[in-house]
Amino acid sequence: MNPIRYARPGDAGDAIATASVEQGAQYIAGGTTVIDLMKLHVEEPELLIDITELPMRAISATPGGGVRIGALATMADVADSPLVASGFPVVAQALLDSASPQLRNMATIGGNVLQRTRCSYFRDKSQPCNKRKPGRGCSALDGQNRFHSVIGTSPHCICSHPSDLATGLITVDALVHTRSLVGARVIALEDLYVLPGDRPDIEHVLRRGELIEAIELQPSAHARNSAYLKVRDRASYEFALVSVAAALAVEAGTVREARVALGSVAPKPWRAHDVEAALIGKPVNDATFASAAEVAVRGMHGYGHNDYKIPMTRAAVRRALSMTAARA
Amino acid sequence: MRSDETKLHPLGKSTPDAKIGTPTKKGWTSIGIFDRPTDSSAPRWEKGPFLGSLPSLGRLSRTAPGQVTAPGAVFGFDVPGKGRAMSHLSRRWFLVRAVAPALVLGLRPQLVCAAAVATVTRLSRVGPQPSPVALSINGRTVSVDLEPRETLLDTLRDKLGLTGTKKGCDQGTCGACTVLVDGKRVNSCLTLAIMTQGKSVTTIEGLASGETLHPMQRAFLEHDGFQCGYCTPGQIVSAVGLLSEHRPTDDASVREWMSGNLCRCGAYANIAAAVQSVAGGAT
Repeated sequence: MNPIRYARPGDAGDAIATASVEQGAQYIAGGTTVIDLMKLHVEEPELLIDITELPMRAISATPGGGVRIGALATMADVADSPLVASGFPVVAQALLDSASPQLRNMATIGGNVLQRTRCSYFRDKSQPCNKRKPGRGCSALDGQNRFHSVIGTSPHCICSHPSDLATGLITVDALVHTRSLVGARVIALEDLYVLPGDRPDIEHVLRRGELIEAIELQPSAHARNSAYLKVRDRASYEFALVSVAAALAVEAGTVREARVALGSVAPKPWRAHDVEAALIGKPVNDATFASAAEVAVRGMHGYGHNDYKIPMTRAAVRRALSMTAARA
Repeated sequence: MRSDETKLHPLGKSTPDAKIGTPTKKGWTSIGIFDRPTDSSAPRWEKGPFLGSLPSLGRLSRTAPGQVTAPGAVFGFDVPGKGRAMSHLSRRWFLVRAVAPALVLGLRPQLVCAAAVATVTRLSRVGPQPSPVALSINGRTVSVDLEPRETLLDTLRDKLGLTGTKKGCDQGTCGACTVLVDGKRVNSCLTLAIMTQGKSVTTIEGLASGETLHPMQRAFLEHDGFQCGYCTPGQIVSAVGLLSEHRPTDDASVREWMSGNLCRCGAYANIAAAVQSVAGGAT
């Protein structure tokens, strides 16, 4: 790990001002991504701004029945919150399926949604990677790409986004509250991410120094009836091969509202709008779910080792929808 | 302001033996890396809106002794008079607020940056050289010279001689380095030691009371919950953390909630039995 400087501001203004203008400055909270990548020299900040003293850890009910989660709330805090578990089960389940108890005690939800890809070439500095160094090439295209994406890729990057939480959050219409030198703004979580295109190094729309202050979960009938299905190599403590977050509002045996998001199959948490459209107004039965699952894999293509993700997605979507419908 | 608040540790936490706390600039007390106003009537930054209206020019015109850059100079404003030290709030507020619209309007970036850098000079830092930091380890406060990049794991093992905590993967994958921070189990390999300041760290060495083993340590002995033993301290500390989380104690739950601790010898059956024996209250 490179030598670094360290500061612990007591207020957001200091943190944001410093992170916005100082070369090599980076926020640190839980540290589970930053320290890991610093050891690998994939990230080489010169100044770490420890934001853990900022008052951004509370989980509170919003007037409309939603939940506002401070960005510094840990994954464990959020998973254990009754507010989250009752109104947004997909979020609690995605968190409990993530990482290990230790990491969940450390990692914050603001950091979780910004975690970097687990692509082994991204993490190995001896290998070309367009995300680390644009223009160097993508080693995964013709390399070991079993964990890589099957949709939303570009000729320059086929990495997958590993966040279970973000996949779940999309289905409950989560909003990201941020603050920067130019003020506060609210971004739909879905719009936080950008696809690699020809700039895989750009992963989100946040400005330099822009700080995530909170994530807001919006109440809805579909959010209350939601579930998360994670398919992985081990039963616990493993990243997803494919995951599906589903939220369904059902009335009189008919799907009234639907949200479906796919994890670990795209460079960003992937909202499957066309799957949602294929569900709304349809009867709640396996035929509906099977045809929606068929829609989910439209446009997917594999790169060799990850071809299996396409049939796996089809099966996982169908199963996740059945699971979710059974909750109603 | 309470008198003890001027005796702050270099990293902002109050410690009984802190040496720093001498008044420097007018109206300020140096507390190492974090300067705070000694005047309790000074406006509290965190209570105000971050980007509100500009403060009055009267406040802007005050200059602080020892101030690196007068805000007016940066922006070409007239800076008349010599008032008392500009308050902690107004200098920063002016700069941050002045910088923000400038960024929006696309003004000369070097000018903007100069102003913003002047703003943040107030945020002091430590490192990369070591500096003395007080840590609370197993109930004792120890002073240790730390580089900011040092992990808690390396500090425990290499500087404090607490080698019970093991380095396995060193990347948050195996759990051999598990310690409790404020009672919660964490991976010490992904924790910067400097960030545990003001928190209470418990390692495997801190579990026993004198010669009396912690019930979880005894259970691992009784159930033969190890083979080579390398993962064992992490397993035991993790299991102690698990106890305080009040999770279900059936076999599947214990395995799930202990999944952050890998055992390459595969002693899982006995580990799970040991944990269950304590968690279920039947030692």
